[in-house]
Amino acid sequence: MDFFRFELCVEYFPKIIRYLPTTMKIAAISAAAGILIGLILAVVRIYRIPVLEQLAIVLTSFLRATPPNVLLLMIFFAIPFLFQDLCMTLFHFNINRMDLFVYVAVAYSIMNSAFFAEMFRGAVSGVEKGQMEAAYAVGLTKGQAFLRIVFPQAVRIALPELGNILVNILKNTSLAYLVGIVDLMGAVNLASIDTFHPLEGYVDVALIYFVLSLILEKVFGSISKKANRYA
Amino acid sequence: MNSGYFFDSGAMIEIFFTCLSYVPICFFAATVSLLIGLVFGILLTVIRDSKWRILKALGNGYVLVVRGIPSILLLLLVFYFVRGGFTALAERFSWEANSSVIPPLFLAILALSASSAAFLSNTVKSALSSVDRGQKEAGLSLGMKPSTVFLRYVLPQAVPAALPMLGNQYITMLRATSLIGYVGVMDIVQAGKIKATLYSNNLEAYFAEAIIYWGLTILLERLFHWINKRNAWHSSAA
Repeated sequence: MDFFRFELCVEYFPKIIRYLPTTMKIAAISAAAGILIGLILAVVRIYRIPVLEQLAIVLTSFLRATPPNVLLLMIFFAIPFLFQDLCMTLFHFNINRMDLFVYVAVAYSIMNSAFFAEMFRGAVSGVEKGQMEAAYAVGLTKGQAFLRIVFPQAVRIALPELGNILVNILKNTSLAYLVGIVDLMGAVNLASIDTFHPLEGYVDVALIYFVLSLILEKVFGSISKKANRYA
Repeated sequence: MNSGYFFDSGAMIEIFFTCLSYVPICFFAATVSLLIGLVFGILLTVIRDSKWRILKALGNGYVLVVRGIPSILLLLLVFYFVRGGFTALAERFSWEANSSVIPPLFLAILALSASSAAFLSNTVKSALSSVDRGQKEAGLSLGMKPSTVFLRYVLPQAVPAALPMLGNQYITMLRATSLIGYVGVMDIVQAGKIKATLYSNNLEAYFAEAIIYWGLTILLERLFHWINKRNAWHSSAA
């Protein structure tokens, strides 16, 4: 069976794992920024700010419904379209010359913010309303009630969902190679350029993603169990 | 490389309708993959609950691996593996066929079924375990055969529990079919890309495709919401 050679797997591995930091960077930066943007979206929906709430609902629905690769490519072309004039006149900066990584980070941050917004909203709604009322009855202010009573319980509800979201973020970063980023998936093309056998490279990448997902699942599984210790 | 300084709405509408004509093939791929995945998912659940440790380990390992890797990676793996295997077999048995005779839709459905089997196995497992164990014990204590207990008591309660998750999985599958263009199927995304190359209308094309997928997702969500509401009327869910 010549179509699968195990020695190629071993040969590709160092060339591919060199680009693991890129994948992790995209995932980490987009997750962090996504949490921030998602927090804003969630706050808008939880506190029902009049106009912004409808906007947030539409935006969250749109971002969660479209496939990641379509969304990625759409934002990739939308950023220059929207900001080219602005950047040129204000900063004399040609946005087309901006590093590809920034485009990808922004695109994934926007995509992930919708997932985090839904998670925050679900977690806060999952805490019984009576807790908030009891906190007011005891004399806590709104901020204190949220921080000390609602937030810890919301975190406990959100933890499994958070693990799920992070695994999905990691898996979605595999699409970055479609716009030209050299991450784990893009490295396969580099590694297999002489031998025209990318299959072994993709098997290596599958192994790496599997191990990363397994680690994330185990970590969040044990954190969730610890958090529900006294529940 | 970008759409320049204006957004060509006329081109967007035209690309929208072109892409719309490829929606049926996406639905076909999604539905067939889900059905095949359901069959294999049920099989996988049986394997994961079996008494032999090695079968159980294999089943759990399969689900873990397939859930842990991205869909595009699974698609590419199936693509290269099946085509490479076909070429190797053709050389061995001296068939006169090139590996390009394998229809790309077949590869896409194969990969998507493999992926959905893993997710649906978890769905089926959780639906079955959501039925109170006392039902099975009561049935057995009354002297019924295990198969009777399953068919008449467990299954009718498990199916309404599974339906919402199945609906969600269908919507996820529809989004995953956006990737089948990368194995050679002419689908919504590829059609948009081709129409966009003439005047570099990439932004309009992807925006039109996003609107199509958004609309389809909203329609399906409404449909499944209605189906689940009708079903919940009959079940014992509080």
